[in-house]
Amino acid sequence: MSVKHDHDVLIIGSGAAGGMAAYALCKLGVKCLMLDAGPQLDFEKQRVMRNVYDLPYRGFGQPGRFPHVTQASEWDASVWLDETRNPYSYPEGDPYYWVRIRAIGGKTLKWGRASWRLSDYEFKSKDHDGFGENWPISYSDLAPFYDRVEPIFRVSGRKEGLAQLPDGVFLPDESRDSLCVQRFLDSARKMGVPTTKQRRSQGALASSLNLLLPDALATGNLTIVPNAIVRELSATGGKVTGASFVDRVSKREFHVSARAVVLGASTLESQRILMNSRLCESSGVLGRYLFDQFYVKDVVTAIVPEAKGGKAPRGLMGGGGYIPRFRNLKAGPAMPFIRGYAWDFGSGGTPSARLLPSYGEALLKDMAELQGTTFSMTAMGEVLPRYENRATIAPGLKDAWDIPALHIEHKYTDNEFAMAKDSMNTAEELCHGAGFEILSKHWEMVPPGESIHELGGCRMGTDANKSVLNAFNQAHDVKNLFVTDGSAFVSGGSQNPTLTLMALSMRASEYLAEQMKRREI
Amino acid sequence: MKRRTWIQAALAVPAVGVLPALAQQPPAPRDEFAKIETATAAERVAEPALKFFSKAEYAALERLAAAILPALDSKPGAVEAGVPPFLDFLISQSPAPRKKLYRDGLARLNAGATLDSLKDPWTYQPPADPFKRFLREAKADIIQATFSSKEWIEARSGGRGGSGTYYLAVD
Repeated sequence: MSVKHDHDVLIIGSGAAGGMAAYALCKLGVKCLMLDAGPQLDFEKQRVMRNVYDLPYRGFGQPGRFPHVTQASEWDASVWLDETRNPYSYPEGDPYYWVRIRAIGGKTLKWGRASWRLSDYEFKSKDHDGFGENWPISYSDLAPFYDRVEPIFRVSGRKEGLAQLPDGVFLPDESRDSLCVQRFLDSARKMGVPTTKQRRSQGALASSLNLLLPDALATGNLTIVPNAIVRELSATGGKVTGASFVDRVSKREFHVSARAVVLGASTLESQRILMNSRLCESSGVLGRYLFDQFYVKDVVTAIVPEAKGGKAPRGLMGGGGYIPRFRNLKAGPAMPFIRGYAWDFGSGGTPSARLLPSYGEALLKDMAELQGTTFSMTAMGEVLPRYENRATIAPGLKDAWDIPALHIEHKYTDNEFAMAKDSMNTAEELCHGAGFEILSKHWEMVPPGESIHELGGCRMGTDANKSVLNAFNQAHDVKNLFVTDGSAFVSGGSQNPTLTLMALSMRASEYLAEQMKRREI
Repeated sequence: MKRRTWIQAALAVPAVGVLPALAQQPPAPRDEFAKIETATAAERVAEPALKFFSKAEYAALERLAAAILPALDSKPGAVEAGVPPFLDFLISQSPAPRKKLYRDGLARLNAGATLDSLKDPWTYQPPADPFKRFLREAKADIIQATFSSKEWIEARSGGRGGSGTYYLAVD
């Protein structure tokens, strides 16, 4: 049999990280082979319009099918990963919600598209408050790559000049704010709280599938193999030589060789592959410093009184925005926590009937009275990277392809609890300042993992004894191995991480191409 | 022939100018086929078999459904929307704790408990009292099952709304 070895780089994963690696490398003339554990979805064949009452469970979904994926609905149940064939474990009493999609395009098929830059409040967070570690890069290192990623993903937004939320290359959002949003912005201004428009990727589909992979394929330098579940990387002499994988459907085993490997299989899957390969273990921190961003969904749900009874004048309701981190940016009143949180806010919805303290005819009247009156806020807070929060291989637990599975330990601590409580109290104050009536409030965080912003575990750093990757996402232990997904994060702020990991992946991939050109890899 | 296969076959028919004889055939009854592949087709012509709740429990569930979302102004309520038999099906497939919550809660209703706690202000944490928790969950279930019923959607909006993109199984 001939040796099939005509590609330079093996890319594992086809989502934000892997897709961007393929985009960057292929355009530079590097021959790439991409493995993804999932199928190629054919939207023309696999999506149909249905009425909710024509679904077997009227939209409830099959009970118990997705105990840890609150995002899954009966509509899209077939897209999310089946936990029975892909198990993982966590300590009893400390559930971790690992939300996964396996398909070409990865989670960018379903992401929320919020696209925020990190700032030096994150990259140099230790300099600000002494906790944790700084990243080995500064904002200025990544800014040129943000500048290139935003146009690809058609990010809309409004420039504000905020140090904690750097401006970017936006499709300008010049939409007018509704009257209730204007009242809220006034309330925020009086409290010294900054606000801005959402920054979001536009288009019917904004995925690696349609924005990155087609350009990579057009170069002729990319080959994609779907349904390829990587069992482990092969290595010899301190270098990776390729990967063993199993076909998802047939369970047939394969091996592929490469000069270099880019791991972009997702934060936790990449760690799992490294652990199963017994690679990158010298620092002792592989799998550690796992974190995410906590969410308090609908931390406050308020009513705009003038909209009750269907009496909202034209232009009162609708629209929303974003409040970036504003706590602990500079010396000020002592807070019972370090770092900070952000909010999404929106208006014009109808409160869920579960929030209304009534039933029967009274409930129907309440619902009619409150239709279209809601102003709601969701808090998203920074979770501190802690040594204790980690992923390991679960003893004896394997997936349907006989690949060892993960055990995930992740707890929130007093810093996150204090932050969540402050987010509720301050949100209530902002709404009162706008003249809204509070219908409900709480500060209960969703379980770790549910935000789908899991990060860390292969963090970057200058010290090979404290980190897995260097400043270019290159493994300290294995020079021809790069990890470019969320696992590389050192800290995460409260900004949605996808834009940043794509910028990191582009930067790392171009560095890899340069190194290969110089024959240093 | 499966619906989507049939539609694909229909779409593959060449343009009129190419094959005029075919073009003169009557239009394919796509709408008639579209009516067949639905989960509710059986519900409309047959009585669902009740598999989970006892007669007494089911009677309490019907009373509860009628109390939470009654028919009003010629619009259907939960009972008219077929919610009690649907919940018998849904709960029969649910994890054991949910089954117990329903069974115990319906028993309390049959013993004369009232719905007063549904007038309590909403809290994020579910009530510690299992009966109050049952009422809260049952209220949410009854409302969702009603709002997603064909009867409710047709009465409220003339059949508009309630539709979305459905992903077929991958393998």
